[in-house]
Amino acid sequence: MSTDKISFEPKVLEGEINIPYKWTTGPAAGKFLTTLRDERKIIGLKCSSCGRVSVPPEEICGKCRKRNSEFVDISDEGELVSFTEVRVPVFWQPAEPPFVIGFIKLDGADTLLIHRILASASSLKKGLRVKARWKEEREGHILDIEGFEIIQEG
Amino acid sequence: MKKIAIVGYATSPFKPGIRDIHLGELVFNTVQEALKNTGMSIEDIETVVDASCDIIDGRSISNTFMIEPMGAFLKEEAKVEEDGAYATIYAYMRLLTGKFKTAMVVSHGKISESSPDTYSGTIADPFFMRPMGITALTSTALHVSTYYGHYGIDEKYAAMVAVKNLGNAKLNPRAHNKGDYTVEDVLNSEVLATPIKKLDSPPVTDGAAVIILAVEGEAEKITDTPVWIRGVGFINDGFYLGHRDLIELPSLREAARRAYAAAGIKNPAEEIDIAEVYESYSFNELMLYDGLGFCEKGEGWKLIEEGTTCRDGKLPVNVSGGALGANPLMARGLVNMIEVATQLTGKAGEHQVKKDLKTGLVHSTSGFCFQSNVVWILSNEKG
Ligand SMILES: [Zn+2]
Repeated sequence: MSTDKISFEPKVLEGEINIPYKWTTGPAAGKFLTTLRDERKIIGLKCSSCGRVSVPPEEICGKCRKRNSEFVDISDEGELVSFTEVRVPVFWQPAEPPFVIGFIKLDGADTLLIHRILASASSLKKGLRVKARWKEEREGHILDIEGFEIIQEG
Repeated sequence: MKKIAIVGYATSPFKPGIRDIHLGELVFNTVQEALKNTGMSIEDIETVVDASCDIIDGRSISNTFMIEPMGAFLKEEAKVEEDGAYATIYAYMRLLTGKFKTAMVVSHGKISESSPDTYSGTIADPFFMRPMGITALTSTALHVSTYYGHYGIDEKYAAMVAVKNLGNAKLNPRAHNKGDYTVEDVLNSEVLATPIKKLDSPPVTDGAAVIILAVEGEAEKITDTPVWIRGVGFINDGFYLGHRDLIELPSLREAARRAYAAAGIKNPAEEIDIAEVYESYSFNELMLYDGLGFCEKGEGWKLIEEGTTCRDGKLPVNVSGGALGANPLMARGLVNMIEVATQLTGKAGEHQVKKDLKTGLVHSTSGFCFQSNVVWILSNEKG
């Protein structure tokens, strides 16, 4: 149905796009990241209207549309809500597969943080207590926390 | 409000990697086929909306190089950086203004020229999700772990969805990923990200899909079998996965509620005769049954166990094979729409559902874990 056929040798042009960026973090993510770096501490943002404490900080509450500014200290311990063991390479992956990522409900937060879980999937179950393992050299990045380890009972 | 109908459509072949023709020709051929099917010429198309993705095409504002193949030359044209079922919203609204009588939606992608991972990985934000390796696969795995964990749903029910969709795909010439599998085959296939396995996952698919819409008065002149739009709802949730309610699926539920309200549907499980939903991964289909109100909350597994959503069930879902059968990114939503339109008009050939059909549901989604959802209600009756 297309135009008259042009006889040609099938040709595929290979290339790639590498684009550098400098992303401004804004105040909420920025303070969260520099606090990881300088104070080795996790902070959350409290909505001035509904009171929800979000980690990572939600600069504008979706429900209330408040620009939040009240930071509160959050524990670096919490509960594992769910997790997946990733067994294949994925884009921008934090580690060689297999690696585990999970949702963590940190003590003092009302939302879930996605982070690496530093344990084999077979040793994990929903509801386990976990604690952050901090990097010594920190740069103001979410991976200043290497991941979360299971807190051994007793 | 003016009534709008789907009057024509076409799809390209769907393949894991189309190398013999380039994107422009893929689109040109599909548009020509849609025009031929309706007996229209390109001059009859008054406005065009394109659904495509800059990252997939490897160009900024990637509709700029598709004007000629789409047939949008010196016409009003705009692009939506979303799936085709979203672009249809804008074509629909243009027709509702009364300024146009016909509109064409063109959706396309050759994801094999890049990779599905590149596409979904760049949806993630650079601060909190990219460093964790969040992609379509890993976000879905986390979502499944959360939702299935909350309700205590066994993964075998997702495997039953995969068996159904891959089996349905066998009868559908538009699907390329198909076969007879057992639940055990699915459960024993390669694990990609627990609990998602290879056979729960969509294939890599290149392809294009086109639909033509027309207003009442015009639609009946173009075709004897218009498929009428009876309602639409579309809703967005927030971005970061941990800030969202991944159990309640509020965006999906509200999009469905609005579509049902517009179409006068009170009990979707009783009133909808057929549905094509964008499941992407087998596990998601049970969440869709829940969010679309086909069952009680958390009880999607019952519908697959009882066979309700199978080809010969009371409410067949994804008789096309769904995204497991073919997953042309940016075009899948239009494929769902085309599938329901062909079923409602009895033109689905070998995979035509063997019962009377009046009302169909089309779903598509965008972003991670059902962040954004669109639900269309179509009917072969004008209403
Ligand atoms: Zn709030």
